[in-house]
Amino acid sequence: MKKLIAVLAVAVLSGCSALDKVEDRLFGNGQQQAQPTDPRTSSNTTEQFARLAVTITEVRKSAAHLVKIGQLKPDTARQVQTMADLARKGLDAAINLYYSASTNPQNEQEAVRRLSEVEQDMQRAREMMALEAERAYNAKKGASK
Amino acid sequence: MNLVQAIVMLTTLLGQVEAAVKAARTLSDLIKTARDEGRDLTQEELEDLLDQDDAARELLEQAIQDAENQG
Repeated sequence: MKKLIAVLAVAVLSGCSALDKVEDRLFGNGQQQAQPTDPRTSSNTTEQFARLAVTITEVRKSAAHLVKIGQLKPDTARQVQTMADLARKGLDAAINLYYSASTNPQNEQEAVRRLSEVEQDMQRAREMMALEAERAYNAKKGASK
Repeated sequence: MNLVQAIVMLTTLLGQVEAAVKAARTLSDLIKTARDEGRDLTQEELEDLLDQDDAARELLEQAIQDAENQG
């Protein structure tokens, strides 16, 4: 049994390491940042949209997982859902603005501004979730002593 | 925490990591293809990603309701 746990732990760490590498390559941590073939900033904007869409999705999936294992209260998960909905609304608006920039060039700037707000919303949701999960973990740890 | 709980938790964690790696790879491939073709991501490509968020929203909603029903 101990060997099985060790194997699983190694597999989890390998997965985390692989994720870090993919994220490094994608989002440009350190020197591994891929340079866009198209130097226009608009290229980075659509990639930011995609990155945020995946981030919102992953925040929801993480919250669902944490609720299932009892590390997140339903109330907090509901707050995360609301924040993710808000972020999604902002992202939808930013995407629509961006792709309508051909009719109004100012829309692109507005899209980038909204994008920044959405990023902040998701950061807050992540922090709230991490804090709550840590509290639940410490409470369980304290109760088991 | 007993051994069985530890195994269940680790297995679930492994599933989460695999899902996250898969999502990151899908995103990476999407961006790479667009860069190779010298273009931005299209609105349709972004909408495909947003559809996945819709599915995740349902997943979280269900998890919340299950937890609330359990009290």
